[in-house]
Amino acid sequence: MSAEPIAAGTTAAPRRPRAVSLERAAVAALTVLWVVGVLLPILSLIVISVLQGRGLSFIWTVSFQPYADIFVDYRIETVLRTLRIVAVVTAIEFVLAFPFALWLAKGLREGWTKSILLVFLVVPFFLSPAARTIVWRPILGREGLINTALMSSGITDAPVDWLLFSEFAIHIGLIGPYFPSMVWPIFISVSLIDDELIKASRDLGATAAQTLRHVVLPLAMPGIAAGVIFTAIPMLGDNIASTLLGGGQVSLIAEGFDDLIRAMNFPAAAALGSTLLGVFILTAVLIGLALRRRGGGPDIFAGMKQ
Amino acid sequence: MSGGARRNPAGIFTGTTAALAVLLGAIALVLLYAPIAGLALLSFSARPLSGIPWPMTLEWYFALFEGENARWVGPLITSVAIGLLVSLLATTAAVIIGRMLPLIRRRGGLLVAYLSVLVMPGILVGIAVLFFYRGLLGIRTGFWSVVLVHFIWALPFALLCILIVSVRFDHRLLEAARDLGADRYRQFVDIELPLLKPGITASVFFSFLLSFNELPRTLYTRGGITTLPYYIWTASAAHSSQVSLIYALSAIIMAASFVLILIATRILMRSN
Repeated sequence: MSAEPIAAGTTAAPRRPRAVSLERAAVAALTVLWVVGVLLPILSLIVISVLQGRGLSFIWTVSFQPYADIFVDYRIETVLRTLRIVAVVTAIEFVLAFPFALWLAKGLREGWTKSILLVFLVVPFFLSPAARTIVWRPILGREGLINTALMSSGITDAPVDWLLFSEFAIHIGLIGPYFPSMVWPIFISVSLIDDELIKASRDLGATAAQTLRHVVLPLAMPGIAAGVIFTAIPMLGDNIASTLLGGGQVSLIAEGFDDLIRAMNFPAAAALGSTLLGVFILTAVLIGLALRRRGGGPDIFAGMKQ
Repeated sequence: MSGGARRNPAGIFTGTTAALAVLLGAIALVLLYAPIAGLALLSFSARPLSGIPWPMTLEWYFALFEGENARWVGPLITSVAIGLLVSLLATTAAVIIGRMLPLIRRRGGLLVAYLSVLVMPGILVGIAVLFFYRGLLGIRTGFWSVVLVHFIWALPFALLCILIVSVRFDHRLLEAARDLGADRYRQFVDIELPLLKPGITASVFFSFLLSFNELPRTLYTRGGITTLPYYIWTASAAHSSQVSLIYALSAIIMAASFVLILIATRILMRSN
């Protein structure tokens, strides 16, 4: 089933104008509500970030003090630390996810194994992130499982300190939950590549590595880009791993929000939010431009139809 | 066709590279599922904070229902109420939008508008709603604002559930029904609805679960209300003696969520 039914629907539209226009009006109304009620508040952070705050109300005078507030030493340090951790974890996710997604899409036949693996990659989206993060504490803690095992087997004499409430713990806590966000887009984009294309490349004498480099990789690019965005951007605002596993030793941007809001410095919190929003929009635009230069990625609808 | 075609349809993988890919995926899946399994095991442990599951006991599960410890019941009711409302709202909106979207020619912009919030950090959405509605408009936050942020979180997923079935919907069926004299309402109920049903069911389950387990968006918009994830969050972040109970409570919620997810994915997969 290709674009045919859609084409049939649109050409038929003039024949039943009233019903269709009513439904279109409903979509339009919802979209207006969505833009005004959801997207506008998010974008309004940029406006709020240059206002002065008095409690939770804002005074309409432009001030760049909020930005000065978030770029003081220790906060900029938090921002940079967050960027570094997110970059490292995203890179790790890519290394773990790309071969696996490729294998899921092109190395594994349809069947029970594949279905079960895919379900395993869906489930975590809907489970409480905090509940599955607190368990790292008794596993990694000073008197936890790993230290007990290490000490009773005589590998170490004293408990290893850096396992919990450290950057190490945050990395460990982030890798699991964000793995599916990296796998899914790559899996979908690789699944869309026609097997015949890969076979043709192999039959023409290209090695597996050459096929990967010149056939699969370029076609998987939109999925890789989407995977990076879906992984890195939400991770920038993650407050769960850093709060539960950083233990106040390692604070990330999310705790920055907490501090600023507790200090009632709302414009500065908005400034921090705008910075995140800026990173998000910039990444999206850059990746959009890069993909357009390559001739555009597959339509999201194409991905769902197969 | 090369000999490798036996094992892998497209011939990119050899035995070794396939094993490497599986190994890398397995590392991530272990990091993902070890805490989930660990939670389930430790909830039966007499000393859950030691990380060692034995000796086993049901003590914490019983303790959950005793006097003071049963304070999670109120938040549970709040979370279920919000979850049901969000599920209803998000699924309804997703059906209205999702069944029309494949017919709209310039749908790229609409998709971006609805799906972009999926990527935004949750905490950012929560703060934006707090500042805009509470700060700029002066409306008190509370039940409604939690419903709103959960709706923002659930709608993109709900929409994807509907789109998975609606893009494959053949609109000539509706024309045939109309030619046979069915009015618009009958066309929807008798033809479209049964075909969209797997997507709608999945959307109902997933939207509920997304709302029920949501934390970062709730943190700043909850006003005075306490949802179950917020209750668990404060209890577990506080290093309190409640933590052992939290394991048991979280294990129950996680098991229930797991069952709902399996039902929903089964329904959605069967439609494909």
